[in-house]
Amino acid sequence: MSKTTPSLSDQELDIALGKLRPQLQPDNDLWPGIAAQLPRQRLPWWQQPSAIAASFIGAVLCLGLAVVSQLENQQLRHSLATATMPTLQQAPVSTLPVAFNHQQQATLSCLEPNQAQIIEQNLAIIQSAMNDIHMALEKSPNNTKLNQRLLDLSKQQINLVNRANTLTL
Amino acid sequence: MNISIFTLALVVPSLALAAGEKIDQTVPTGSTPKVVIENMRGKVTVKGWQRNEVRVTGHLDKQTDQFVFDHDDSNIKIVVDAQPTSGNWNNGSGEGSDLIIHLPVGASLEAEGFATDFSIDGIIGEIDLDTVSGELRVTGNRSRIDLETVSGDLRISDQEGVVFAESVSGDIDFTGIATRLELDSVQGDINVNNQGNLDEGEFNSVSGDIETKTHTADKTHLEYNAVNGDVDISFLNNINAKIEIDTMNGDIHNHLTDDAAHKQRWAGSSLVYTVGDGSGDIRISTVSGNITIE
Repeated sequence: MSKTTPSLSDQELDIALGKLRPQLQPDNDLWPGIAAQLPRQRLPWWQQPSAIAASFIGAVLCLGLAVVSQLENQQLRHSLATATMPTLQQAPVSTLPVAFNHQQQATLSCLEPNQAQIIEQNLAIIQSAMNDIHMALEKSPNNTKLNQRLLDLSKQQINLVNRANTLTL
Repeated sequence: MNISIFTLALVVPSLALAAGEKIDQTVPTGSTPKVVIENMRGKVTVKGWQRNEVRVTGHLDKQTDQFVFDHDDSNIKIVVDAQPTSGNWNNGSGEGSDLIIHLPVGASLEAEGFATDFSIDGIIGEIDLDTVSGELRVTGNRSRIDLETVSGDLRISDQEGVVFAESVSGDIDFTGIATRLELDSVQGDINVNNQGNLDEGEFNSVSGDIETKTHTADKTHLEYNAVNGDVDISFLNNINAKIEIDTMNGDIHNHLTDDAAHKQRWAGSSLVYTVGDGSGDIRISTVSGNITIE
Protein backbone atom coordinates (compact mmCIF):
# COMPACT_ATOMS: atom_id res chain seq x y z
CA MET A 1 0.00 0.00 0.00
CA SER A 2 1.20 3.44 -0.74
CA LYS A 3 0.75 6.46 1.50
CA THR A 4 -0.59 9.49 -0.30
CA THR A 5 -0.05 13.07 0.89
CA PRO A 6 -2.96 15.40 0.36
CA SER A 7 -2.07 18.45 -1.72
CA LEU A 8 -1.73 21.73 0.22
CA SER A 9 -3.29 25.00 -0.72
CA ASP A 10 -1.17 28.20 -0.96
CA GLN A 11 -2.55 29.34 2.36
CA GLU A 12 -1.57 26.09 4.08
CA LEU A 13 1.91 26.33 2.56
CA ASP A 14 2.36 29.86 3.91
CA ILE A 15 1.37 28.66 7.39
CA ALA A 16 3.81 25.75 7.18
CA LEU A 17 6.60 28.09 6.07
CA GLY A 18 5.88 30.41 8.97
CA LYS A 19 6.52 27.55 11.40
CA LEU A 20 10.06 26.97 10.13
CA ARG A 21 13.02 28.33 12.11
CA PRO A 22 14.20 31.64 10.63
CA GLN A 23 17.92 30.78 11.09
CA LEU A 24 19.96 27.62 10.92
CA GLN A 25 23.36 27.17 12.54
CA PRO A 26 25.96 24.96 10.83
CA ASP A 27 27.18 21.96 12.74
CA ASN A 28 30.83 23.11 12.58
CA ASP A 29 32.87 26.27 11.90
CA LEU A 30 32.99 26.93 8.10
CA TRP A 31 35.45 29.87 8.18
CA PRO A 32 38.73 27.86 8.09
CA GLY A 33 37.63 26.24 4.81
CA ILE A 34 36.64 29.60 3.28
CA ALA A 35 39.91 31.20 4.39
CA ALA A 36 41.89 28.43 2.73
CA GLN A 37 40.23 29.20 -0.61
CA LEU A 38 40.93 32.94 -0.51
CA PRO A 39 43.85 34.13 -2.77
CA ARG A 40 47.06 34.84 -0.96
CA GLN A 41 48.39 38.37 -0.79
CA ARG A 42 50.39 39.10 -3.96
CA LEU A 43 53.86 40.60 -4.16
CA PRO A 44 54.23 43.96 -5.90
CA TRP A 45 54.61 43.39 -9.66
CA TRP A 46 58.21 44.56 -9.75
CA GLN A 47 59.16 41.88 -7.21
CA GLN A 48 57.64 39.01 -9.16
CA PRO A 49 60.14 36.76 -10.98
CA SER A 50 57.98 36.57 -14.13
CA ALA A 51 57.80 40.37 -14.37
CA ILE A 52 61.56 40.68 -13.93
CA ALA A 53 62.13 38.08 -16.64
CA ALA A 54 59.66 39.77 -19.01
CA SER A 55 61.34 43.14 -18.50
CA PHE A 56 64.73 41.63 -19.24
CA ILE A 57 63.45 39.93 -22.40
CA GLY A 58 61.79 43.19 -23.50
CA ALA A 59 65.05 45.07 -23.06
CA VAL A 60 66.93 42.44 -25.08
CA LEU A 61 64.29 42.57 -27.83
CA CYS A 62 64.51 46.37 -28.01
CA LEU A 63 68.26 46.16 -28.30
CA GLY A 64 67.94 43.46 -30.97
CA LEU A 65 65.44 45.53 -32.92
CA ALA A 66 67.77 48.50 -32.84
CA VAL A 67 70.58 46.36 -34.21
CA VAL A 68 68.34 44.84 -36.88
CA SER A 69 67.23 48.26 -38.03
CA GLN A 70 70.86 49.07 -38.79
CA LEU A 71 71.28 46.11 -41.12
CA GLU A 72 72.33 46.82 -44.65
CA ASN A 73 69.69 46.47 -47.33
CA GLN A 74 71.50 43.44 -48.63
CA GLN A 75 70.88 41.59 -45.41
CA LEU A 76 67.27 42.73 -45.44
CA ARG A 77 66.76 41.39 -48.93
CA HIS A 78 68.32 38.11 -47.95
CA SER A 79 66.24 37.75 -44.80
CA LEU A 80 63.01 38.51 -46.63
CA ALA A 81 63.90 36.35 -49.59
CA THR A 82 64.45 33.38 -47.32
CA ALA A 83 61.55 34.06 -44.97
CA THR A 84 58.98 31.30 -44.68
CA MET A 85 55.61 31.04 -43.05
CA PRO A 86 56.88 29.28 -39.91
CA THR A 87 59.38 32.06 -39.22
CA LEU A 88 56.76 34.58 -40.16
CA GLN A 89 54.35 33.21 -37.61
CA GLN A 90 57.00 33.42 -34.90
CA ALA A 91 57.55 37.14 -35.49
CA PRO A 92 54.70 39.40 -36.61
CA VAL A 93 55.30 40.87 -40.02
CA SER A 94 54.49 44.32 -38.75
CA THR A 95 57.86 44.28 -36.97
CA LEU A 96 59.82 43.44 -40.10
CA PRO A 97 62.19 46.26 -41.00
CA VAL A 98 60.82 47.08 -44.45
CA ALA A 99 61.51 50.79 -44.38
CA PHE A 100 64.53 51.28 -46.51
CA ASN A 101 63.81 54.80 -47.70
CA HIS A 102 67.42 55.87 -47.86
CA GLN A 103 68.23 53.03 -50.20
CA GLN A 104 65.20 53.86 -52.32
CA GLN A 105 66.02 57.54 -52.55
CA ALA A 106 69.64 56.89 -53.43
CA THR A 107 68.57 54.51 -56.18
CA LEU A 108 65.84 56.77 -57.57
CA SER A 109 68.18 59.74 -57.73
CA CYS A 110 70.44 57.79 -60.08
CA LEU A 111 67.66 56.95 -62.53
CA GLU A 112 66.38 58.83 -65.52
CA PRO A 113 63.33 60.95 -64.59
CA ASN A 114 60.84 58.76 -66.43
CA GLN A 115 62.30 55.61 -64.95
CA ALA A 116 62.28 57.09 -61.47
CA GLN A 117 58.66 58.19 -61.88
CA ILE A 118 57.51 54.68 -62.88
CA ILE A 119 59.42 53.08 -60.03
CA GLU A 120 58.17 55.66 -57.52
CA GLN A 121 54.54 55.32 -58.58
CA ASN A 122 54.62 51.57 -58.24
CA LEU A 123 56.49 51.65 -54.96
CA ALA A 124 53.71 53.94 -53.73
CA ILE A 125 51.09 51.45 -54.93
CA ILE A 126 52.84 48.64 -53.09
CA GLN A 127 53.19 50.79 -49.98
CA SER A 128 49.51 51.69 -50.13
CA ALA A 129 48.61 48.02 -50.42
CA MET A 130 50.83 47.22 -47.45
CA ASN A 131 49.07 49.94 -45.46
CA ASP A 132 45.70 48.41 -46.33
CA ILE A 133 46.90 45.03 -45.12
CA HIS A 134 48.33 46.52 -41.94
CA MET A 135 44.89 48.02 -41.23
CA ALA A 136 43.23 44.68 -41.84
CA LEU A 137 45.77 42.97 -39.59
CA GLU A 138 44.83 45.31 -36.76
CA LYS A 139 41.41 43.67 -36.80
CA SER A 140 42.69 40.20 -37.47
CA PRO A 141 46.34 39.99 -36.36
CA ASN A 142 46.62 36.22 -36.71
CA ASN A 143 45.38 36.05 -40.28
CA THR A 144 48.13 34.01 -41.92
CA LYS A 145 46.98 34.84 -45.46
CA LEU A 146 47.28 38.55 -44.81
CA ASN A 147 50.65 38.05 -43.17
CA GLN A 148 51.82 36.03 -46.15
CA ARG A 149 50.54 38.70 -48.53
CA LEU A 150 52.38 41.35 -46.58
CA LEU A 151 55.56 39.34 -46.83
CA ASP A 152 55.06 38.92 -50.58
CA LEU A 153 54.58 42.66 -50.97
CA SER A 154 57.74 43.33 -48.98
CA LYS A 155 59.63 41.06 -51.34
CA GLN A 156 58.00 42.73 -54.32
CA GLN A 157 59.00 46.14 -53.00
CA ILE A 158 62.59 45.07 -52.54
CA ASN A 159 62.69 43.34 -55.92
CA LEU A 160 61.52 46.55 -57.54
CA VAL A 161 64.24 48.59 -55.87
CA ASN A 162 66.68 45.86 -56.81
CA ARG A 163 65.49 46.10 -60.37
CA ALA A 164 65.98 49.85 -60.30
CA ASN A 165 69.47 49.28 -58.91
CA THR A 166 70.42 47.18 -61.90
CA LEU A 167 69.38 50.05 -64.17
CA THR A 168 71.83 52.37 -62.47
CA LEU A 169 74.80 50.06 -63.05
CA MET B 1 84.29 14.52 -79.48
CA ASN B 2 80.98 15.80 -78.28
CA ILE B 3 81.61 19.36 -79.22
CA SER B 4 80.15 20.08 -82.56
CA ILE B 5 82.47 21.77 -85.00
CA PHE B 6 79.37 23.23 -86.56
CA THR B 7 78.39 24.78 -83.26
CA LEU B 8 81.80 26.25 -82.65
CA ALA B 9 81.92 27.72 -86.10
CA LEU B 10 78.63 29.54 -85.67
CA VAL B 11 79.32 31.21 -82.35
CA VAL B 12 79.48 34.72 -83.67
CA PRO B 13 80.70 37.48 -81.39
CA SER B 14 79.00 40.81 -80.93
CA LEU B 15 78.14 42.74 -84.00
CA ALA B 16 78.28 46.48 -83.62
CA LEU B 17 75.73 48.47 -85.57
CA ALA B 18 75.01 52.16 -85.77
CA ALA B 19 72.29 53.45 -83.44
CA GLY B 20 68.84 53.44 -84.96
CA GLU B 21 70.04 51.39 -87.93
CA LYS B 22 67.67 49.07 -89.70
CA ILE B 23 68.48 45.45 -89.23
CA ASP B 24 67.69 42.25 -91.13
CA GLN B 25 69.75 39.22 -90.15
CA THR B 26 69.01 35.51 -90.36
CA VAL B 27 71.07 32.75 -88.77
CA PRO B 28 70.64 28.96 -88.60
CA THR B 29 69.86 27.16 -85.32
CA GLY B 30 68.31 23.97 -83.97
CA SER B 31 64.59 23.22 -83.64
CA THR B 32 64.41 23.91 -79.90
CA PRO B 33 66.94 26.61 -79.09
CA LYS B 34 67.03 28.55 -75.86
CA VAL B 35 66.68 32.20 -76.76
CA VAL B 36 67.63 35.19 -74.60
CA ILE B 37 66.49 38.67 -75.59
CA GLU B 38 67.40 41.90 -73.80
CA ASN B 39 66.00 45.20 -74.97
CA MET B 40 65.52 48.13 -72.62
CA ARG B 41 62.81 50.07 -74.43
CA GLY B 42 60.63 49.89 -77.47
CA LYS B 43 58.75 46.97 -78.88
CA VAL B 44 59.77 43.40 -79.52
CA THR B 45 57.50 41.07 -81.49
CA VAL B 46 58.42 37.41 -81.53
CA LYS B 47 56.77 34.99 -83.95
CA GLY B 48 57.20 31.25 -84.21
CA TRP B 49 57.84 29.71 -87.62
CA GLN B 50 58.52 26.28 -89.06
CA ARG B 51 62.17 26.89 -89.85
CA ASN B 52 65.35 26.14 -87.95
CA GLU B 53 66.42 29.73 -88.34
CA VAL B 54 66.30 32.94 -86.36
CA ARG B 55 65.56 36.14 -88.20
CA VAL B 56 65.77 39.61 -86.67
CA THR B 57 64.29 42.55 -88.56
CA GLY B 58 63.34 46.12 -87.67
CA HIS B 59 65.34 48.99 -86.31
CA LEU B 60 67.47 49.43 -83.24
CA ASP B 61 67.10 51.93 -80.44
CA LYS B 62 68.65 55.28 -81.35
CA GLN B 63 70.79 55.09 -78.23
CA THR B 64 72.19 51.67 -79.11
CA ASP B 65 75.84 51.22 -78.18
CA GLN B 66 76.07 47.64 -79.26
CA PHE B 67 73.91 44.98 -80.83
CA VAL B 68 74.73 41.42 -79.85
CA PHE B 69 73.48 38.47 -81.88
CA ASP B 70 75.23 35.30 -80.73
CA HIS B 71 73.95 31.98 -81.92
CA ASP B 72 74.62 28.28 -82.17
CA ASP B 73 72.53 25.12 -82.43
CA SER B 74 70.95 25.41 -79.03
CA ASN B 75 71.47 28.97 -77.78
CA ILE B 76 70.55 32.35 -79.21
CA LYS B 77 71.36 35.66 -77.57
CA ILE B 78 69.95 38.92 -78.87
CA VAL B 79 70.92 42.01 -76.88
CA VAL B 80 70.31 45.65 -77.71
CA ASP B 81 72.69 47.46 -75.42
CA ALA B 82 71.35 51.01 -75.26
CA GLN B 83 72.34 53.87 -72.97
CA PRO B 84 69.57 56.40 -72.38
CA THR B 85 70.34 60.09 -72.36
CA SER B 86 68.97 62.25 -69.59
CA GLY B 87 65.23 62.80 -69.80
CA ASN B 88 64.99 60.85 -73.01
CA TRP B 89 64.01 57.45 -71.68
CA ASN B 90 60.50 57.34 -72.94
CA ASN B 91 58.82 54.53 -74.76
CA GLY B 92 56.27 56.93 -76.18
CA SER B 93 58.89 58.97 -78.03
CA GLY B 94 59.30 56.23 -80.62
CA GLU B 95 63.02 56.11 -80.05
CA GLY B 96 63.17 52.58 -78.65
CA SER B 97 63.88 49.49 -80.70
CA ASP B 98 61.19 48.05 -82.91
CA LEU B 99 62.16 44.48 -83.64
CA ILE B 100 60.40 41.52 -85.22
CA ILE B 101 62.11 38.26 -84.37
CA HIS B 102 61.19 34.93 -85.93
CA LEU B 103 62.12 31.82 -83.95
CA PRO B 104 61.54 28.09 -84.41
CA VAL B 105 58.17 27.22 -82.84
CA GLY B 106 59.86 24.82 -80.42
CA ALA B 107 62.12 27.51 -78.99
CA SER B 108 62.10 28.49 -75.36
CA LEU B 109 62.41 32.18 -74.62
CA GLU B 110 63.71 34.39 -71.85
CA ALA B 111 63.28 38.12 -72.45
CA GLU B 112 63.88 41.20 -70.36
CA GLY B 113 63.29 44.92 -70.77
CA PHE B 114 62.35 48.08 -68.95
CA ALA B 115 59.95 50.13 -71.06
CA THR B 116 59.60 47.33 -73.57
CA ASP B 117 56.40 45.80 -74.92
CA PHE B 118 56.84 42.13 -75.69
CA SER B 119 54.43 40.30 -77.95
CA ILE B 120 55.04 36.58 -78.35
CA ASP B 121 53.02 34.55 -80.83
CA GLY B 122 53.29 30.85 -81.62
CA ILE B 123 56.24 29.82 -79.45
CA ILE B 124 55.41 26.52 -77.77
CA GLY B 125 58.45 26.17 -75.49
CA GLU B 126 58.77 27.75 -72.07
CA ILE B 127 58.53 31.53 -71.95
CA ASP B 128 59.89 33.83 -69.26
CA LEU B 129 59.26 37.56 -69.73
CA ASP B 130 60.21 40.40 -67.44
CA THR B 131 59.56 44.08 -67.97
CA VAL B 132 58.70 47.15 -65.87
CA SER B 133 56.38 49.48 -67.73
CA GLY B 134 55.84 47.48 -70.86
CA GLU B 135 52.89 45.33 -71.84
CA LEU B 136 53.34 41.59 -72.17
CA ARG B 137 51.30 39.59 -74.68
CA VAL B 138 51.62 35.86 -75.21
CA THR B 139 49.52 33.87 -77.65
CA GLY B 140 49.57 30.21 -78.61
CA ASN B 141 52.01 28.87 -76.05
CA ARG B 142 51.79 25.17 -75.19
CA SER B 143 54.05 24.86 -72.22
CA ARG B 144 54.74 27.06 -69.24
CA ILE B 145 54.90 30.81 -69.15
CA ASP B 146 56.24 33.01 -66.40
CA LEU B 147 55.47 36.70 -66.81
CA GLU B 148 56.38 39.62 -64.60
CA THR B 149 55.66 43.27 -65.09
CA VAL B 150 55.21 46.27 -62.85
CA SER B 151 52.89 48.78 -64.47
CA GLY B 152 52.19 47.11 -67.78
CA ASP B 153 49.27 44.84 -68.57
CA LEU B 154 49.56 41.09 -69.12
CA ARG B 155 47.52 39.47 -71.89
CA ILE B 156 47.68 35.73 -72.30
CA SER B 157 45.54 33.98 -74.89
CA ASP B 158 45.25 30.57 -76.54
CA GLN B 159 47.46 29.12 -73.83
CA GLU B 160 47.68 25.44 -72.99
CA GLY B 161 49.65 24.53 -69.91
CA VAL B 162 50.86 26.38 -66.87
CA VAL B 163 50.91 30.11 -66.20
CA PHE B 164 52.62 32.20 -63.56
CA ALA B 165 52.01 35.93 -63.85
CA GLU B 166 52.71 38.84 -61.56
CA SER B 167 51.93 42.52 -61.83
CA VAL B 168 51.79 45.55 -59.56
CA SER B 169 49.45 48.00 -61.26
CA GLY B 170 48.81 46.24 -64.54
CA ASP B 171 45.82 44.02 -65.30
CA ILE B 172 46.16 40.31 -65.98
CA ASP B 173 43.92 38.72 -68.63
CA PHE B 174 43.98 35.02 -69.42
CA THR B 175 42.08 32.95 -71.94
CA GLY B 176 43.05 29.41 -72.79
CA ILE B 177 43.23 25.84 -71.57
CA ALA B 178 45.30 25.86 -68.43
CA THR B 179 45.83 23.17 -65.85
CA ARG B 180 47.60 25.45 -63.44
CA LEU B 181 47.30 29.21 -62.97
CA GLU B 182 49.07 31.37 -60.43
CA LEU B 183 48.17 35.02 -60.97
CA ASP B 184 49.22 37.76 -58.62
CA SER B 185 48.39 41.45 -58.75
CA VAL B 186 48.52 44.37 -56.36
CA GLN B 187 46.27 47.00 -57.90
CA GLY B 188 45.42 45.48 -61.25
CA ASP B 189 42.39 43.33 -62.04
CA ILE B 190 42.64 39.62 -62.81
CA ASN B 191 40.35 38.15 -65.48
CA VAL B 192 40.38 34.47 -66.36
CA ASN B 193 38.42 32.51 -68.94
CA ASN B 194 39.74 28.99 -68.76
CA GLN B 195 38.34 26.09 -70.77
CA GLY B 196 40.85 23.63 -69.36
CA ASN B 197 40.31 21.47 -66.29
CA LEU B 198 42.10 23.47 -63.67
CA ASP B 199 44.06 21.29 -61.25
CA GLU B 200 45.57 24.09 -59.29
CA GLY B 201 44.91 27.81 -59.20
CA GLU B 202 45.95 30.66 -56.99
CA PHE B 203 44.66 34.18 -57.53
CA ASN B 204 45.88 37.01 -55.34
CA SER B 205 45.10 40.69 -55.40
CA VAL B 206 45.12 43.56 -52.96
CA SER B 207 42.87 46.25 -54.41
CA GLY B 208 42.16 44.76 -57.81
CA ASP B 209 39.11 42.62 -58.61
CA ILE B 210 39.38 38.92 -59.44
CA GLU B 211 36.99 37.37 -61.94
CA THR B 212 37.39 33.79 -63.11
CA LYS B 213 35.35 31.52 -65.34
CA THR B 214 36.86 28.10 -65.36
CA HIS B 215 36.44 24.36 -65.66
CA THR B 216 37.88 22.40 -62.78
CA ALA B 217 39.51 19.01 -62.39
CA ASP B 218 38.05 16.49 -59.92
CA LYS B 219 40.60 17.14 -57.21
CA THR B 220 41.05 20.78 -57.92
CA HIS B 221 42.81 23.01 -55.45
CA LEU B 222 41.87 26.67 -55.85
CA GLU B 223 42.64 29.65 -53.68
CA TYR B 224 41.41 33.21 -54.06
CA ASN B 225 42.72 36.00 -51.86
CA ALA B 226 41.82 39.68 -52.10
CA VAL B 227 41.95 42.54 -49.65
CA ASN B 228 39.78 45.34 -51.02
CA GLY B 229 38.87 43.78 -54.33
CA ASP B 230 35.78 41.77 -55.24
CA VAL B 231 35.97 38.11 -56.20
CA ASP B 232 33.58 36.68 -58.83
CA ILE B 233 33.83 32.98 -59.59
CA SER B 234 31.90 31.06 -62.24
CA PHE B 235 32.40 27.35 -62.65
CA LEU B 236 31.79 26.09 -66.16
CA ASN B 237 31.34 22.46 -65.12
CA ASN B 238 29.89 20.54 -62.18
CA ILE B 239 32.40 20.76 -59.41
CA ASN B 240 33.30 18.35 -56.62
CA ALA B 241 34.86 20.30 -53.83
CA LYS B 242 34.69 21.51 -50.29
CA ILE B 243 34.30 25.27 -50.43
CA GLU B 244 35.41 27.60 -47.66
CA ILE B 245 34.57 31.28 -47.95
CA ASP B 246 35.30 34.03 -45.50
CA THR B 247 35.24 37.79 -45.57
CA MET B 248 35.83 40.38 -42.88
CA ASN B 249 33.58 43.19 -44.18
CA GLY B 250 32.26 42.05 -47.55
CA ASP B 251 29.16 40.15 -48.60
CA ILE B 252 28.99 36.53 -49.71
CA HIS B 253 26.66 35.61 -52.58
CA ASN B 254 26.48 31.87 -53.05
CA HIS B 255 24.55 30.75 -56.12
CA LEU B 256 25.97 27.23 -56.27
CA THR B 257 23.78 25.84 -53.50
CA ASP B 258 21.15 27.03 -51.05
CA ASP B 259 23.71 27.38 -48.28
CA ALA B 260 23.78 30.86 -46.84
CA ALA B 261 26.63 32.69 -45.17
CA HIS B 262 26.44 33.25 -41.47
CA LYS B 263 27.83 36.13 -39.50
CA GLN B 264 30.75 35.28 -37.30
CA ARG B 265 30.54 36.11 -33.63
CA TRP B 266 32.73 39.21 -33.66
CA ALA B 267 33.13 40.32 -37.25
CA GLY B 268 32.81 39.08 -40.80
CA SER B 269 30.94 36.29 -42.51
CA SER B 270 31.86 32.79 -43.47
CA LEU B 271 30.43 29.89 -45.37
CA VAL B 272 31.63 26.30 -45.60
CA TYR B 273 29.90 23.68 -47.68
CA THR B 274 30.52 20.72 -49.92
CA VAL B 275 29.49 20.25 -53.51
CA GLY B 276 29.47 16.79 -55.11
CA ASP B 277 31.87 14.31 -53.56
CA GLY B 278 34.01 17.09 -52.06
CA SER B 279 37.24 15.74 -53.51
CA GLY B 280 38.66 19.15 -54.29
CA ASP B 281 39.10 22.17 -52.10
CA ILE B 282 38.38 25.80 -52.85
CA ARG B 283 39.20 28.62 -50.47
CA ILE B 284 38.09 32.20 -50.98
CA SER B 285 39.00 35.06 -48.70
CA THR B 286 38.63 38.83 -48.77
CA VAL B 287 38.86 41.60 -46.23
CA SER B 288 36.35 44.12 -47.55
CA GLY B 289 35.61 42.80 -51.01
CA ASN B 290 32.38 41.02 -51.96
CA ILE B 291 32.42 37.39 -53.03
CA THR B 292 30.13 35.87 -55.63
CA ILE B 293 30.28 32.20 -56.56
CA GLU B 294 28.12 30.40 -59.12
